[in-house]
Amino acid sequence: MELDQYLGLFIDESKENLQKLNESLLKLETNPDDLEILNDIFRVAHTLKGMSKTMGFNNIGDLTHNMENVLTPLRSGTVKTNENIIGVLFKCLDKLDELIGNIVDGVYEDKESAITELVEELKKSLTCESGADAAKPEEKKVTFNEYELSLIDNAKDKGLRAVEISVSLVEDCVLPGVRAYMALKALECEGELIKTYPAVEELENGDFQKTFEIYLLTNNTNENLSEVVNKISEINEVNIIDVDSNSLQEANTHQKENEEKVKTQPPEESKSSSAVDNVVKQQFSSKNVQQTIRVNANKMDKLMNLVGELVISRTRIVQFSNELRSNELSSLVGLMGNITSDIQEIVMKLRMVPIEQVFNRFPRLVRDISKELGKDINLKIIGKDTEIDRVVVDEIGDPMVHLIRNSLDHGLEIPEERIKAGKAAKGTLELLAFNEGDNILIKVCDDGRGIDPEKIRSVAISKGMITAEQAKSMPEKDVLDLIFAPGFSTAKVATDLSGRGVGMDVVKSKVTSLGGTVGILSRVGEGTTITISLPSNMAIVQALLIKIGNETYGTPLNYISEVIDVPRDQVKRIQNREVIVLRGKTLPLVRLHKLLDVPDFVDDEDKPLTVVVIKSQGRCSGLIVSELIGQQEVVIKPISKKLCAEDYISGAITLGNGQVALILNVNALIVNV
Amino acid sequence: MINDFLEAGQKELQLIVFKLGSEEYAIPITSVQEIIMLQTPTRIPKAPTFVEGVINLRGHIIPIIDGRKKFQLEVKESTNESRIMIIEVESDTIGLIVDAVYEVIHLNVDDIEPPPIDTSEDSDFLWGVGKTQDRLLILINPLKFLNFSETKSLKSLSKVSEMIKQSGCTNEKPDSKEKVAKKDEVAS
Repeated sequence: MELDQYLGLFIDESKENLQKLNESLLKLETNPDDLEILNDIFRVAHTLKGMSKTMGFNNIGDLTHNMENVLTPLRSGTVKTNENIIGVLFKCLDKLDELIGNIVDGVYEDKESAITELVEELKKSLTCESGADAAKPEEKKVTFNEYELSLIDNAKDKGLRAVEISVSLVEDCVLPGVRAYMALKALECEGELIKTYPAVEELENGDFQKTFEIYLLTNNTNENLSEVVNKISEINEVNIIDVDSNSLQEANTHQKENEEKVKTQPPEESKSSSAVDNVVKQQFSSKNVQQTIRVNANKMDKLMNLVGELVISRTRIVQFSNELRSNELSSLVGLMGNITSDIQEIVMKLRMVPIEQVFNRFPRLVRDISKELGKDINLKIIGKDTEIDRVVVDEIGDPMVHLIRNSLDHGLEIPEERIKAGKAAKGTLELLAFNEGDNILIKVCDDGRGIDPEKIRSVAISKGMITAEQAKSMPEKDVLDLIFAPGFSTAKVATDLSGRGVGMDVVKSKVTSLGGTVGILSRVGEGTTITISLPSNMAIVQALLIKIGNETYGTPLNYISEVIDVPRDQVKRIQNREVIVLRGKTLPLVRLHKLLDVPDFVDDEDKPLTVVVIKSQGRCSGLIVSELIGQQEVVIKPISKKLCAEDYISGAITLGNGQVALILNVNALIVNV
Repeated sequence: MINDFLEAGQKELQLIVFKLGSEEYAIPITSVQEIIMLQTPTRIPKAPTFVEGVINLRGHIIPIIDGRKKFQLEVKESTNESRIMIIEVESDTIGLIVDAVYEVIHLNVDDIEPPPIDTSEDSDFLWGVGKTQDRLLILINPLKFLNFSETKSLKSLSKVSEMIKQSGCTNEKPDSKEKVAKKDEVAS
C-alpha cells in the first residue's frame, strides 16, 4: 500500500493527539481519580495505536498498546492512579514525541529495543503498586498449544521423557542472552526442544529476568542434563522436573479460565465506559461544532496571491467603468468589489491561528521545570483564543520558552522564601495574550522577586557595557532594558535552565525580526512583566505611498512618525549635511531622488519641502519626497537581494494599476544618513 | 545541463530560437516558462545596469534583464517583435528582453557541436552550436547565461558565431586556435 501520501496527515494527527495526551495527563495529575480524563487518555492512546499500526510504525503501536494495558485497570478502578504511573505515562509521551519526531526527520527505525525499557517500566508501574495485579504475570507463565501437548504425549510412546528445566543465571550475569543461547544449544543436543519460556528470540536477546524454562523431550537422565547446563559459566542453578501432558493440560485449562475471567471482565466494563464514552463524545462534539480541514500551507499562499491579483483586477475594472460612465456597469462593478473585499478579508483571516498552538506546550514545561527546581507554581493562561499570524506561531515559541524559564528560574522563589517575604507559597506565572489595535500583546507576568536595577547597573558596569557615570544618570526603565543587551546575565551561576547570558538578547532579536517590540516592567519584591508586542498580520502591511519624481514608492506606516511641510529656508547645513530643527531636535534630511538616482527629477523651488519623518531603532530622519499619494494596505513580496546592491529596497508591492512599486527599506535609509 | 539530457537518453532537444543583435540563439524549452509582450518595468535604484527593473506577472515580482545591455550590444529601441522570455533558472525566475522570438525547433543531439573554442570564463554559457538545415544556432546554457553579478561580453559570443560561420564547423581545430589568438589580441 502506498502510505507516503498519508504520512503528513499521520504526523499532523499524531502531534495533535500527543498534545491532547499531554493536556489530559496534566489534568490527571491534579485529578487522579477522574474517570473521564482516564478515558480521554485511553482514547488517544488507542487512536495512536490504530494509526501507527496502519502506517507500519510498530514501535509506536506497541508502546501505546502497553499504555492501554496500564490504563485498563486504572479505568476499571482495580488500580488507583498514582504519581509513579503518571510519571511513566509522561515518559511514554516523551518517547512517543521523540519517535514521531524521528519520523518527521526521516530517521525512524522500527527497532524494538527503542521502547523495551519503557514497556518494562509500564508493566512494572502496575505490578509493584498493586497487589491485585502482581499475580498477573505469574499466570501468564507457560501455556502449551495442542500441538506441543501432543508432542509430549507421543514422546512417551517413543520412550522419551518430557522435562522442565528451569535455569537461573547468576545475579550479575553480563551476557544473559549469550548464556541462554549456550544453554539452549547444549540441551538441543540432548533431546528435542519443545518450548522455552520466554520465547527463544527473547532469550537470545536477553529479555528475561535471570531465570528461564526449557521444555525438552529426552531420554537422558536428569543428572546428565543438569551437568550439561552447569558446564556453562554464569549459571546459578538448574532445576529439572518431569512433566506429563495431563498436568500441563490442567495448568492450561486453569490458565484459560483465568484468561477468560480477565476477558469477560473488560466487556462489562467497556460497556460502562462506552456509556461514558457516549456522554463524553456528545460533549466533545458540542464543543467542536466548528469543523476544520487541513490545507497545505503552499496552497494557502497561492490563494492569497491570487486574491491579491483579483483585487488589482477589480481596481482596473473600476477605473475602466468610470471612464465609460455606464450606471449599470458601475453598479455591477460595485457589487463585485464588495465580494472581492469579503474574499480578501476571509483569505487574510485564514492565515490566522489561535495562539493556543504556542501556549499549549507551556503547562508541561512549567510543570517539569517547577518540579526540578522545587518550586510550587500556578500557571494561568489567559486569552489563548487570540489569533496570530501563522508565521508568528512558528517563530515565537522559542523566545517564549526563554522568558518562561527565566521567570521560573530567576523570578519566582521557592515556597519558604515566598512565605518569608509574606507572599503566598504558590507562585503565579501568567501568560496573557490579547489584541490591542493592530498589535497582539503577549505578556509573561510573574509575582516573583523582581529585578533589582542596582544589580543590573553593577553588572553592566562590570561587563563594561556602561560607565559608572552613565549608570548613575540612567533612568530605571533604560536600566531594565539593558538585560536585552547581548551577553548580559545576572545569574551568579549558570544553570541548566537559564543564566548563560544568551537568553534575552535572542528574545529581542527574534521579536524585532518579526516586526515587534519587547518591553519589561519590574518591581523588586513584586514581580516582573515582560510584554511582547507583535503586528497582528504579517502579510498585510499598512504603507504610505509616495512619489519621487515620476516613481512611486511605499514606506511601511509603522516606521513613519509624521509628515510635515518644511519651508525651504528652514533647511540648514551642518557638516555638509542638510538638517532641519524639529521641536528643538535636529533632523537629518535625505534627498531620496539623489539616493535612488531617480531620473527626470524636477524640483519645484517655490513649493515647501514635503518631509516624511521616519523612526527606527531610536533614530529619526526626514525623507524628502515630491508628493504623497496615500495610505494603502499592501502585501509585500520579497525581491531578490542580488538586484539591489545598496539594500535600499526591502520588497515590492503591486499597485491598483498592475504596476509594481518598491518598498523602501527604512532601516537602511536611516543608517545611511 | 545538456549532459543531463544526454544522460537521460534523450535523442532530441526542443529549443526555443530567439534573436539578440544579429545572431540567433537557442535555449531549451524546459527552462522557458512563457513568453510575454513587452511591458514597462519598475526601475530598481542601484541595480546593475542590465537590470531593467521588475514587473508583476500574475502576482509574482519578476526581475527583467535587458539582453542587449547584459551582453554589451548596441542598445536600440525595442520593436514590435521584442519580447520578454520568462526563464526559470533553478529556483529563480527572471525575464529576458530579446529582440524577437522565432520558433520552437527539434534538434537532434548529434547535430550539436561542442563550442569551437576552449571553454574560457567568457564563453562558459555556451553549450555548443546547433546545426539545422542551413542555420547555425548558438546554444545557451541558461544557468550561466543569466547571472546577476557580472556583465558577459557578447563580443566574444558574436566572435564565436562569426567564427563558426567562417569555419562552417568543418575544420574547427586549427581555425579555433587562430581565433583564440585573435580574441586575446582584442582583449589586450
